[in-house]
Amino acid sequence: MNTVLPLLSSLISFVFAIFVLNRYRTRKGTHLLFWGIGTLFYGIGGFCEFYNGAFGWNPLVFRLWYLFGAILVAAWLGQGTVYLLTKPRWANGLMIALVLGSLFALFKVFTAQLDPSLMAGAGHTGSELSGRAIVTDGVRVLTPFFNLYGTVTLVGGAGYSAYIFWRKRVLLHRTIGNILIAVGATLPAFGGFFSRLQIPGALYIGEFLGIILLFLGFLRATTEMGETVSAPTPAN
Amino acid sequence: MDKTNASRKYPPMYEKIVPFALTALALLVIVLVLVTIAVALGLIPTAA
Repeated sequence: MNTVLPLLSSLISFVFAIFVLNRYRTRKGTHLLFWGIGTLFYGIGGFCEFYNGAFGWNPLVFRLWYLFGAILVAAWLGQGTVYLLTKPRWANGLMIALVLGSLFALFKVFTAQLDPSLMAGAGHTGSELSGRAIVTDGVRVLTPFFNLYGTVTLVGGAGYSAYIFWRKRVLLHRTIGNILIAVGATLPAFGGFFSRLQIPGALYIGEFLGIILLFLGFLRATTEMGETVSAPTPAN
Repeated sequence: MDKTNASRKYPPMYEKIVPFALTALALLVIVLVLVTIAVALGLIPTAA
């Protein structure tokens, strides 16, 4: 489970990224660029988990996993939603903060002391990557802030969009797509939480189911279903 | 002008599912945010 699931998550993420970046190439839209970058980060994180499961501990792979997979992915995906739903001035300001924060996280992660033996715990064999391997203070504390920003923006933005479409009873495919995206985005977060509670496999399962729902949601939201909404009668 | 158009309807199945899903989603987000804050503040005992 510690190799197959992350490998599948990674492959799905990279295919997803191709879809999103191809859409960015043809339609532009900064939100698509950030979603594309976010899905690439998701794929990198999944690949690092696969590498660790298949070939064992590697400090560089761990640092890449923690940076892209644990800290940055949700926030960069959420930044795409910020660009979609807010004024450019707000989005640009938050983007500058995100980039500076990401550079700080890069510095902290790549200068942190690591001890892979700390990954093994009551419910973990140690073959599943965990932030417990980071010995240096001030690194793991960064993760909740990035993830809180990512969760609020990505899940909140998708949920808000779904609500708006539902309230107007328009674009059913976007309502469904945004609900799938919102639910998918919560799953890795819950997986990470349960992983912290030493439930083995929780993170990888959450990430796998999460990327499937995100991808399905994106495909649903970008593919019209035909006329399924009953239009008002002229008398109304 | 109210943008809600009460005479427009989604197919019956979606008229039932979507409000339920949106409510569940809102609860999920609230739980997730509270859990994240609690973890960040060290209020939930997790593996260090």
